[in-house]
Amino acid sequence: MKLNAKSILILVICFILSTAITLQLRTMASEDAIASGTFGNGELRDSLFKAEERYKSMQSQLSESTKELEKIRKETTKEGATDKNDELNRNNMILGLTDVTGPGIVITAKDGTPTGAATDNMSLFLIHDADLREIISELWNAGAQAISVNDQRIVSSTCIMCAGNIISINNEKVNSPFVIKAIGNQESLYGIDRPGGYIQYMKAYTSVDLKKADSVEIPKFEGAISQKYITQVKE
Amino acid sequence: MENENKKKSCKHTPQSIFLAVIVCLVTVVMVSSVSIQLKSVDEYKDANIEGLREDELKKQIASYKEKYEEAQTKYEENQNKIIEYKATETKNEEAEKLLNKELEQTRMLLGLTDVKGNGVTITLKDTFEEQYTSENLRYLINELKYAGAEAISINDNRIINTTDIVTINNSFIVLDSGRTRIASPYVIKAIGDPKYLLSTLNMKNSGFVDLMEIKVTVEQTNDMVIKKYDGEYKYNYLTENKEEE
Repeated sequence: MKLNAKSILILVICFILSTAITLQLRTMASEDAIASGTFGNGELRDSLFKAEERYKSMQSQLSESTKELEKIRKETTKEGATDKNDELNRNNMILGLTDVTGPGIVITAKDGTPTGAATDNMSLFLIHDADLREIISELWNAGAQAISVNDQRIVSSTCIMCAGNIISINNEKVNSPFVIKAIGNQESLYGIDRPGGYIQYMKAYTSVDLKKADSVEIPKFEGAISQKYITQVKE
Repeated sequence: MENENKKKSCKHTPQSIFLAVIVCLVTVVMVSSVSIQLKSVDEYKDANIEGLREDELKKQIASYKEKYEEAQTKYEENQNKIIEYKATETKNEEAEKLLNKELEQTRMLLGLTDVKGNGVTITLKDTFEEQYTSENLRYLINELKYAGAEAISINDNRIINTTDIVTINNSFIVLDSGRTRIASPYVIKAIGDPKYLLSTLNMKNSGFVDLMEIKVTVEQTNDMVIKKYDGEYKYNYLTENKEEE
């Protein structure tokens, strides 16, 4: 009798564990099936890794050469030119070509949760490209001096496009939750959350959270601002 | 009898010990194999590039190539400038000329100089029934930037990075934090590749012209001048992050 109870126990344990293992194996197998389409793309994947690597090494070369350029510029133009060197660095900072820090606010905007009713207009619960443009415009209006959305610096050539399910900024994909950082006067930036304002309107369907921060870090624009078609008019 | 029973239940025969050890071993083996499985599933999900489909892979490769080329162009520009500066090492005047040139370039990018070039002129006129909104203008500016416009103005007000276009009191559209008020007709000038600008605006159904319910006039303009931004950039809250050497 005693032995029998024990063997039943063993049986139950074995059953549970083997079921678990089978389940695991099955999910693995089904994931493999999804991935098997890419198994033939080994070369493509390799070249993606390579392209990424190549870009990263070029990026680091670039930042090194920028530093070197700054140094040699300073050395060769010694006296009388410090003002100009300063202005050049400042212009690059304003253009968005350097990382900057300062007081400001951080806005986190998330797609809303639909109520589940059949009458729900799903579009209302999503954050659209137009919403981001409106917020950015309001922030500039409130005196922002640098803005980024999900670490994409907003520069003069930035466009915010709707690309189906995602939004592209500076040709990079960004997604909800959107973290919008702005540097400027905290009080006036925070003031965009005013009664009747656009943020309040957005809060009806989506989640928008504003926070003041004493040290907001905004990364530089990684691309180049082109000037192929404009030429300066000499005065 | 009682004693015997007790003895029976407590006794550890070699068989029962053997059984217990077996159970223990089987459990250990199975639990560890389950956890290994779980772990490998997790790792599998981490390597996100592994899971990308072919078209996604191709798109990403293309975007990295583009970014690489952009960075390379900038890098080469920098290297050339370094060489030029080095060549002038002994002559401060020459170096200063180079500095002036670089400075001019940044001023032009900031919109602090008048610029000229080919592009398009767009005219928007409110009607009694329908009026343009600030979002319409923001949308248009965004489209123009997407099409590669390098200088834009609305009613001769230069649009710079920090230009805001907002509606105040539901009636006025203002630029530059309320410094400038604009009203219909809106004349928007943009310098860039006229071909791209026109085709983007005139795109069937999704272009700006088709999206607006009011008539939009778009025409190509060659050699037009866009005036400089006449305000001043503020930067008192910004501090540059210097990378550690």
